[in-house]
Amino acid sequence: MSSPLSPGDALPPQVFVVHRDDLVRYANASGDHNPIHQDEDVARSVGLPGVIAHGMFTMALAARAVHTWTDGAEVVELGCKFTKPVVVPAEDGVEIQVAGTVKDVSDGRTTLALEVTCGGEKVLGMPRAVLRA
Amino acid sequence: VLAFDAMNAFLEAEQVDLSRIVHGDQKFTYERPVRPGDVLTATLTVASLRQIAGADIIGTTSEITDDSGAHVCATSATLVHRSADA
Repeated sequence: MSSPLSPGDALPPQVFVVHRDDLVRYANASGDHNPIHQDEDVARSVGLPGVIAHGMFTMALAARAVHTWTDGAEVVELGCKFTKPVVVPAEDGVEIQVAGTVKDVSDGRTTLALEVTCGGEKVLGMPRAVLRA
Repeated sequence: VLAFDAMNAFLEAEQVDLSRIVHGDQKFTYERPVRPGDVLTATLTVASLRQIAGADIIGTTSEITDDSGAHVCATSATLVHRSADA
């Protein structure tokens, strides 16, 4: 880690732009071909507002932000609830912002509380990462 | 991805219509990092099942072990299956 983190430190927010073709690539990489992540008609037919990003893809963006903040520190825990769908419009895609705060540093472990938002609204519930650092 | 393979096998075996599934939560707890060359096995357990407002809430856990049987990672995931008439 480049500089030691202390409880209360705010980590600089990182912004990721997600497009529909990212979802296709994520589906192919992960094996999750649920059509709600690719097909507008199917998504709407099950009551969703449109094509939504895989929760695991949004979670992976949070993990990428953690990796960048910590210079690739070893992640020992990563978890969240998928509380609000991330709707990905066909043309322009959507921006996801990942912010974070250092919650605790003890016993060789650093706990980060994350905040993952889309259009100013939280899309993940209690996203949290624990690092061996 | 490995745990997801186990999840997919489970969903296929149950003949679930994927579009009715959403992912409720996910957690990973690593004993050690996954390294290139690891041969890993995921074992998925349906840990809980609840019904709320016409939706099935399926709680799963997966245990990931290496080829010596050592524990590498534990995952838990909640899947929400919304029935057609919900």
